[in-house]
Amino acid sequence: MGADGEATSAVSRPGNRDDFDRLYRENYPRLLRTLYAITGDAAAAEDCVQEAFVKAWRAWPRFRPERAPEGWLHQIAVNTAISYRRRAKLRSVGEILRRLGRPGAGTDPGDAATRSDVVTALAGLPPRVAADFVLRYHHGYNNREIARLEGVSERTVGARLAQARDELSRRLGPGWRGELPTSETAGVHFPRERSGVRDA
Amino acid sequence: MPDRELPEHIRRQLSAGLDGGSPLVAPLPSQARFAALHGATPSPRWRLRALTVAVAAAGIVVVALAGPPQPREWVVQTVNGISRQVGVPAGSVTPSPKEQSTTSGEQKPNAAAESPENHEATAEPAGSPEPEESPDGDDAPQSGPAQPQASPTPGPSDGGGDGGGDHSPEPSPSSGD
Repeated sequence: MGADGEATSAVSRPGNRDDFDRLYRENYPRLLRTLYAITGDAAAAEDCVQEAFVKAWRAWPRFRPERAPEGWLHQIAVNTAISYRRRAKLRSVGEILRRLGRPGAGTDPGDAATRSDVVTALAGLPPRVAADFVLRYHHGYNNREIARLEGVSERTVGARLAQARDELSRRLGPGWRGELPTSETAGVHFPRERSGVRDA
Repeated sequence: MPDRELPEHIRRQLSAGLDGGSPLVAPLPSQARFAALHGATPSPRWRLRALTVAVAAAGIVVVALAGPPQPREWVVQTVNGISRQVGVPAGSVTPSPKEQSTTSGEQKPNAAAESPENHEATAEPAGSPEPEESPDGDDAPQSGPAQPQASPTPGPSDGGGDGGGDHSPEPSPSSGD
């Protein structure tokens, strides 16, 4: 996707298996990290990405070529992760109800060892807020690209990023609030993800 | 709202957190979950064949149920023809007991051909053989050949003329009257 959010990669022909394989190879790492920030669980993120590609493959014959396939995949993946989080929340509520009156099991030490504080804090954010934060500060998209990718306004993206910075600075420290771009940092270009997404 | 940037060390922290727990190597497309669905999508040609077979089956069912009833007519005509050849009125025309009692040896084979069991079953409730048989029953010891036809049970025939009229249960009350 270029600066204007247009797809600059090869033409994606709906229903074509080779084109879908290329989309899979290019978008898998980016989607995996984004969903890891949403779910907070590496295995769940991988499962959600695979599930998202299954859904995308079923809808691939009906894909409209005028739309950017990266944004299409991103929306499917984020929706899949949101559904996962909803189910996980229901499971946890059921677990709490089952354990009423029994001694608490405590936190899983294995889970605590593999999940960093950053990921835990990101998983505590609303899913779309976490996704925008990762796209902006990890994958290097600017606000306009994120807005095009998700089909929302730039103002919405800016508000979500501000919400994420506020929440993370409360949990992780004031450094996460960010700093206004100076003349030196204004021209900084973040390294793009190895996902085939290129600048125009 | 101003668009802020994260400090460099914070961005490194973020990247370390995201790259730390998740496997970054994507499985090959052939190993992906969607690859298992690749062969499961039915092709349009297969759908066309299935539609053709379904329409043909529906047509056969419609013709079989709502078509001209020739097969059934053929069955009815055949059964009627066979029954005519065999001699249909076997069940409807029942010979009277009077004919049976007065028949000579020529009619005997016909009666045997028409299943004597049926005649015995139909003759007893329909007719009243007692008034006709009672005089014959008196002469029964002399007229030996006529006795087997008159008696419905095979017992008297086996016994022959030795007291057949005395031991047969049916003729004795009628003869008394």
